[in-house]
Order: sequence, then C-alpha cells, then structure tokens
Amino acid sequence: MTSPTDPTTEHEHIRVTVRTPSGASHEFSFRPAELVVAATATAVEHFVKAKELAPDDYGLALVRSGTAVALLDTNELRSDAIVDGDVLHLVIEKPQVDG
Amino acid sequence: MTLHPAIVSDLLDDEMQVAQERLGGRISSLSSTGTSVYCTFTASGGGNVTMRLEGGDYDAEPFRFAVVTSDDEVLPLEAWPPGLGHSIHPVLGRPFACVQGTYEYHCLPCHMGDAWDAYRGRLRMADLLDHLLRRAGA
Repeated sequence: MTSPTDPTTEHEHIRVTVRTPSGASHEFSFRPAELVVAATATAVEHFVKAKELAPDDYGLALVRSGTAVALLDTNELRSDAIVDGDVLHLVIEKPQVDG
Repeated sequence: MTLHPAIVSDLLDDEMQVAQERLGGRISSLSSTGTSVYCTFTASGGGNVTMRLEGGDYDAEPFRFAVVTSDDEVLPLEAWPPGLGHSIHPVLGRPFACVQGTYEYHCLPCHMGDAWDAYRGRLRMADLLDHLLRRAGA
C-alpha cells in the first residue's frame, strides 16, 4: 500500500479524455495529485492553441454513467476518484444571464 | 457570415454528442431532423416536454428556441413549463424564453446591445440546453 506522498505515486498518471463544449476531444495524462484548476488550465491552453476553444473561464465536469458532476478547482484529481478512461467536459463557468 | 450547410451539420452533430453526454439522465431523448434539434424531458409535474433548437443559421446566428408539440408546432405560452416561457415576443409575435444564447433574446429591442457575437464560440448547445432545463425545473 502506498501513501499519497510515496514517491512512486508521483510517477503514476491518469489518462483521461477532455472534451470541449463544441465536441473537440483530446487525451491528457495528469498526475493524480494534480489540482483540478491546473488540469483545467492545461486542457484549455491545448484547445485554445489548436483554435478549438475560445479563451474564457472554464471548469471541469466528470461525466460518468449519464451524470455530469462539476469538479472543485481546489481538489486533487485523485480526491475526485478520477481514473483512467474517464471523460471530463470543459464547462464555461460564467453564469448565463437572462432577460 | 452563414456557415456552409455541411459544416453546420457537422457542428450540430458534434455538439449534440457533447450535450447527450453532459445532460445524460436529465433528458429522455436528444434527436435532430435537418438543422432542428429536439430535446425531450419529463417536466417536474409529469408529462413530456419537447424543446426545439432550430440551428439553420448556427452559429452565425444563435439557435431559435421554442417548446413544441409532437407535430413540431409551437405550443401556446400557457403550455410552456413554468419558468421557461416569458411572454409573446414583441417583434416575432410568438412565445419565447428570455434566455441569453437564443435568437429571441438577442433580437429583443432592449437587448440590441447584448449581441450574440459576444457569446458565439463560448455559449454552445450543451450550455444552452443545461440552462434551459434548469429554468424548466428539470
């Protein structure tokens, strides 16, 4: 059994698919201890560079079994039980304003 | 500038896939006919409600939104889920939801300064449907 601070865990990675609201997808490899906010920034930077996403404030939502759960920016990926093969959606964080 | 129909079709297909994944169990179905996208869900008081997003000019223009019958006719305002229908649109003369990202919102005289171009590329189908569903209590 390894503790979260065990050096061996630092070399482990989780491979997840991140999807943009318009359907572009890319597979990313993150450390389990990576903060959600950092993973989000990495994904946003990739898609913006690829011109597949407009720069803005985004968060990540875990989509599993037909349910989307927003991830807290300050959580580590492992604390949200993210595992290999999970699909994460970039979701715009700005609240939509109605008339 | 209006997009080529083949590009619009691909765009709608891709965004429907994202919306289907993200909305999952909150909706009963998500389908399309041509450039019209139909999202059906169970209303909080029971019964199915079908929302139509018409995207023929997407995303040069936002989706045109309506709650429709199974025959694709726009339902009268009083039959729209509470919280979704606003009133009769003063320009278009039909029921509308006053929701950012819909054609009806952006062509209201009082919203002329809140142009769709400011949201195009950011506010996509999944975001819009998610918001409309919350407004409808689903």
